[in-house]
Amino acid sequence: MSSYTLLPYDKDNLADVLSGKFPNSSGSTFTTPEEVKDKNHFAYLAEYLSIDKGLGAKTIIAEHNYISKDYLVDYASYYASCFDDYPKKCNRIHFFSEEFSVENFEDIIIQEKEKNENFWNSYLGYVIAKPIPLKVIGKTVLKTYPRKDSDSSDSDRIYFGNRIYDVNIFGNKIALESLAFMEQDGVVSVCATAAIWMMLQKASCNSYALLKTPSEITDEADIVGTHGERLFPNKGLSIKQISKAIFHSGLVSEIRTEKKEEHLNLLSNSYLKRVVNAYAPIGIPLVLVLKVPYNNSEDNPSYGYHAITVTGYKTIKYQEEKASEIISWRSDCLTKLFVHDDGWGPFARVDFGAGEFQLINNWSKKYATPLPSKLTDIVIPVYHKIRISYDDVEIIVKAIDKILWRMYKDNTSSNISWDIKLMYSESFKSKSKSYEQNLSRNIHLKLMPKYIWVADCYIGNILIFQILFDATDVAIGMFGLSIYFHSQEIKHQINDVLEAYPNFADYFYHPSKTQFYEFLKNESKYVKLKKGKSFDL
Amino acid sequence: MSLTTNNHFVEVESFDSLFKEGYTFKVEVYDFDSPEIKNEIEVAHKEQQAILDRKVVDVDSLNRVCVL
Repeated sequence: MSSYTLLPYDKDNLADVLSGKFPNSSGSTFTTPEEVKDKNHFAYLAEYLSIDKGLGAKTIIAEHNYISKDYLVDYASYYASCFDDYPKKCNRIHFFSEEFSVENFEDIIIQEKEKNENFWNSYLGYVIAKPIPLKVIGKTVLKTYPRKDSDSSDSDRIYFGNRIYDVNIFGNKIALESLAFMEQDGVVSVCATAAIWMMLQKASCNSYALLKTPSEITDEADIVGTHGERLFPNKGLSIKQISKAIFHSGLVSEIRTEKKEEHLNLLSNSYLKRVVNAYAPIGIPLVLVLKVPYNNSEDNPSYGYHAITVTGYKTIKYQEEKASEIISWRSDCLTKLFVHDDGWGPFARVDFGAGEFQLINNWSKKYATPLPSKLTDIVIPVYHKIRISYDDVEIIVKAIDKILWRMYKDNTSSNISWDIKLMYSESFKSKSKSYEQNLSRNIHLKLMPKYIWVADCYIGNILIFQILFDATDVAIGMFGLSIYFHSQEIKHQINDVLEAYPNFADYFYHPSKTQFYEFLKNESKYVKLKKGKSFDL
Repeated sequence: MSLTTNNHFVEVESFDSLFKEGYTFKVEVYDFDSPEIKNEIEVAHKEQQAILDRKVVDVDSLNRVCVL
């Protein structure tokens, strides 16, 4: 019996292979192709793989008897002890953007890979189809959307959650850049489990984080369910359980939650953009909890809480504006998020709605008039030594922005804007190679912790200075590290003002306000010489 | 000179255009007891307090269960 089945790509064949109903299949008899077609995932994958809107799949290779580690652990912990005979092996469904025959394929797989680069470049990734009822979408590794000719050169897609997967296809190792996706099985895993598992796919590239299987994640979330009920079959995880499961994988969680009082609700779209933009350079996906509409009743929709994983974003060029007293964030250029939504599929788009608290996603679009989803919680998994949060830095930046406004009012050629990011210090040093030579040398020779916060200050699109903060420090202390000025003119002006007025310390609403004032003053210090000359310290 | 930092689109050629034409910077006389500056500092504190509030986890959120 052949170890694979080759089929031309079309929707019917996609449904067949996902259900396990195809010639020589080793898979499921628990889900019909019709049931697969009713799933959100089918509609999503069919579009994602389509020629007109997606990756352009033309051929399917369904690999039989594939052993999936994640499924095998789930199988051992639950399905093996069921009376029904659930198979322990899966089908792995590969997709290619080339058309080819069985003979072509078997010729190619025995040749050196380099001889068939075009063929292997047409490889789009795989979906593991699990032999269980309805929740058939197992580990899925698919390419991201290619950049289209119609895409503006002023826009960019950043998939910060992606990593490299080595995919072995009948003895040929293919490197694929993606982030694995998985659907919850509703027994050992729910949406939050899937969201954590997808986050860990990338986080575990770091030595401090461990990749767990879905059943292990749920098992480590608690000893009982959220309301004291049994943990398995699982009915859902709370924020605290999500945080516990993340902890057991070697990370800690920064949590931001919606407030009951409407006026205290600060999880706006702008804040979400700032947070995603800030933590993206470290490369660990964020987990969001949304309140999404989920039944199809147009008149009386139900809402439920749903966890998703943020893996990337789309951004456009920052547009200069008139100088303003209101602080401006460069992260407002994020126009959409890409998320792994276990209810739909990988790299699903989330648009920012018209209101500051509205998100439009696939759940919203099931309704004739899209019903917005709402962000209720942000879970930011970080390495435990990153103790200073985005918000700790934003407080200091807001104070400095006010000082700059007091100094310049609306006399800058365009507005002052800020970009705050958590970075590896070596990445910052590496990027500084393109700076002016002396500045770059100073940066390279500066002793820095591994994790730093960098707040870039711009006038229009001109980078003026960069404030570095020690991300491992104490939040109530002065955690500033250094300031690198790209404009000596601004540096001298800031110093002149601060030297003259120590009261500027009052702009900081912080226990270490005087030290922050001193930090700003000392970092901008320069020596004035006669005849208007100066040199910088 | 390219100053492409962590923003993909920033290209800096010159610092000539930081200020409006005709503007010359000078250290102003600031009266920190004036209502204007007092108010400015008060607003700054309120904004920074709001950020601190954001860090407080709402207890009701602990009962939220992701069920979908």
